[in-house]
Amino acid sequence: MLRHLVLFLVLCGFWALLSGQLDWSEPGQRYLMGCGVVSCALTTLLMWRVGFLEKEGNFIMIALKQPPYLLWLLWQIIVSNWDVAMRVWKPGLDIDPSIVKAPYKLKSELAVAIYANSITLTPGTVTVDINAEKKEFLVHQLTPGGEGGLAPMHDRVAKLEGGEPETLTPKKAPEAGA
Amino acid sequence: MQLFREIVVWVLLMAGAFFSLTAAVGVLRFPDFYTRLHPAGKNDTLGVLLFCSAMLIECFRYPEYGYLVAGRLVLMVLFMLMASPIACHAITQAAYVDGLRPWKKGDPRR
Repeated sequence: MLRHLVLFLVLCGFWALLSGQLDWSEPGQRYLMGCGVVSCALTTLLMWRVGFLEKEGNFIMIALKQPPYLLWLLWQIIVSNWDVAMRVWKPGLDIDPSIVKAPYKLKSELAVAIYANSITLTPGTVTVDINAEKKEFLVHQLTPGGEGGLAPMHDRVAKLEGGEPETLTPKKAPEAGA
Repeated sequence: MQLFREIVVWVLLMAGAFFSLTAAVGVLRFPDFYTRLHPAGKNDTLGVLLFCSAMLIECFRYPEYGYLVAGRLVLMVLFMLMASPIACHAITQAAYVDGLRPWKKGDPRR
């Protein structure tokens, strides 16, 4: 119930930001605001029927804890971008790509998605495949040693979720590819 | 103050242009599909991020409606941060499931 209320308020804020018509005294803008409230309510009702929000973890907490994580992620993005950019411009290809397995112990699907996205955005690594049964990602990396940055990232996402941080060591995949 | 702001905006724009150009060059130079996704998925995101922060600073010159544009720019950056790695992951996974072998050091270019 609380989740749907939060969703409704977020949607209303989103509508207000995109339309920018917030003057109650003008009939045209009043009409638009009414339309906004109705469509936000309709969307919330549909989400209720689908029952999607109940399945997610504590996403309100995750959203509230986002800003520090985003700042940290931003710094990681800049660092890794600089690294990739240097490799792009260097004469003679200085890359040695490989595929590693990165296990994870996150509970909610949202946290798994955040972790997978963060891996793609940061340390010279791209998430290739997710094995939900074995709870591990296949990660493609440009240079050996890129997986060293994954364990601290996993801890941070686990903390976002409210779980215990636990250090996980990625292991080498035996032979990747078909 | 005006000069300082313009310098910051120009530095951000130039940095964004640099990273976007790097993404394009990287896609051309790297040897195979998987490695090409690294510059395409990362440098592009940072390029757009830097462009958007430059525009965000410019927004403060228009106090009447600038805050609305600023809010939209922040949303744009957030959606870029979510959508770009998902798209990147989707095509990588498609290639992997299809059985495309990753390039190893010493292999010929493809």
